Amino acid sequence: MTETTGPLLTVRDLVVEYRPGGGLFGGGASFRAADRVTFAVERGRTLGLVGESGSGKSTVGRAILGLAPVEAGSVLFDGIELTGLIPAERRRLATRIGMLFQDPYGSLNPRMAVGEAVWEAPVASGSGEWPVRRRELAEELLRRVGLAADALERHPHEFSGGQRQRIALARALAMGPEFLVLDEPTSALDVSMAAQILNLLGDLQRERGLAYLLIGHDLALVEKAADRIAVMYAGLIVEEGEADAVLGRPRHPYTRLLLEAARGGRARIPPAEMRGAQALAGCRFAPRCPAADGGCEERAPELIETAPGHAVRCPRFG
Amino acid sequence: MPPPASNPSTALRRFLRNRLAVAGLALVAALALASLAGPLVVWTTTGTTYQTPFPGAELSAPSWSHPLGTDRLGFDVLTRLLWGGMASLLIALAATAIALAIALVLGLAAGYAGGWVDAALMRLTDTFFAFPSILLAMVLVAVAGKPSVALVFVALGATGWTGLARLVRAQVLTVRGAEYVNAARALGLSPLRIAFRHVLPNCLGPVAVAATLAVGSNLLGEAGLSFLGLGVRDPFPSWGSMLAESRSFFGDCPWLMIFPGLAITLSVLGFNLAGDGLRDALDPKAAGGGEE
Repeated sequence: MTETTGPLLTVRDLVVEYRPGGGLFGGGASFRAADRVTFAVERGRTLGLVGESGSGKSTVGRAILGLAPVEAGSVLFDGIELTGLIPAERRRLATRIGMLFQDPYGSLNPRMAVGEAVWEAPVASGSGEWPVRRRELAEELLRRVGLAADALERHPHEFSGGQRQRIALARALAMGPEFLVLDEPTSALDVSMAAQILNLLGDLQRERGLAYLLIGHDLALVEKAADRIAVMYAGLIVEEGEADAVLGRPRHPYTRLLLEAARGGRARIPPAEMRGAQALAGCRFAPRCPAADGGCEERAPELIETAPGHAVRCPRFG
Repeated sequence: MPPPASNPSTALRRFLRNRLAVAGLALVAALALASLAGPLVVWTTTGTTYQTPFPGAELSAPSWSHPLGTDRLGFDVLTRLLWGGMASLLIALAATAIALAIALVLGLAAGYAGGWVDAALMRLTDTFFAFPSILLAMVLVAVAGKPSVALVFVALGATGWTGLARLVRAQVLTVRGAEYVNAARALGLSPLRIAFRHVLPNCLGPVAVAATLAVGSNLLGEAGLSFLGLGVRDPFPSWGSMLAESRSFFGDCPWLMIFPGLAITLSVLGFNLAGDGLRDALDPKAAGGGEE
């Protein structure tokens, strides 16, 4: 079943929980890393998912790939429900959904030559002409992401962080995906390298009609690439809307703080224990919120649409 | 955290800078050369094998014609030592290969599958861990009816895999959480391919070290079993059985005991030094990493 209209990916009320321990003697309270997360990614567009570390943004990305335990909710990709897929069906979808990981040093197998890293998955799954033309196709892809053809025989340790991220990107593209989860793809790189990678991602998006979920903690980087932006705090989406609206008229105090930090102002976000926030009865951001009043700690706010396509989770809009 | 992505060429350089490691490697190489080529060389040049008697020369002290002396039956000790080395080395290698094969399969399965598979396999490992190789060898000999070379390495292999299996499992548990394994899953690779192409190759460094050390301990184990008469049997020599024979004469003919003893000591030392050096070369952060 394929829908040609509507969003490519729809995440609805997604809940991801980690249980400590596990196994025979496991137990203890589970930790809800993502809580009723809802958003949609349009074909060929980019949704930026922003938040501090620990906000649950990477967890959401991993859950889409089946790398995090989904407790409840739905992830609909082009009409296909991804939660609860059996492993074999999930593996088949790897030709359509890919991921670029944060750490280019950790995400490449150190014992595998670059060429094989690129062609392994498409050859194994018999995709396109890969089984018969693996070398040419891998070389072509590596050149497209800005690497020399002799990269094929070399190993990851011979490359810089930026080059490794290009290798990881070539590997993800080899499957011919329509959608990529980009989990902080530039946070391990220096500023100029990060800009190059983002430019490359933009070019590839236009060339191939790719849709991206761009996860990042730095609003300044995400705003350059994203069409829509969702801001996460302590497992919840606290603001979501078109990039212009969220950046131009931020409603949530947390978004404003992130924006100030991104605009080169000193990061004035008061530090706090993010884990404790999940247990609060009222607004999870209230203890750190510069605009909080007494009522904020009493009622848990819902995500409220304050303008068409722009939603905010803040007690003062309740 | 994934293990340090050790670059093979830097690891080699680090190994070669470590004098003890090189000495160990030299000992191992000398042992391998002497015991694999030695018997052939002696036989083609002098026509002497491990059971060529020299009548009238029984129990003679080291001399020009018999550099390490002769034994009770007038056999040349040097020749028998070379043949015995072949037996000991091949048995130790075979035992290690068996242990390694079992350890890789079980350790990989336990570490990768987790859950009840892991629990069951680890209890099995504990059971075998508590089982002495000598006892198993005696049971096997009793079942088979007579001692044989195959029994020695099967007994050593079947009891020697437990430590290696635990090591493989521990490595797998570390590597399984590595981001490149998540990346492989995200690419839709099959669990078997991930296990053998992504997890296993990154587990092998410490396992290679442990296997090298295991060859040393299997040499010792073979000597022990043959000493007790459970292993290599007359007339074929092994270092353990040569030691056992020497007991009756060690007051008058110390060379019968000294040279096999020395051979065992030096080879075990060689494998241990080489194994330690390999460990330091693969993981510069380990204690005693030395000059890095």
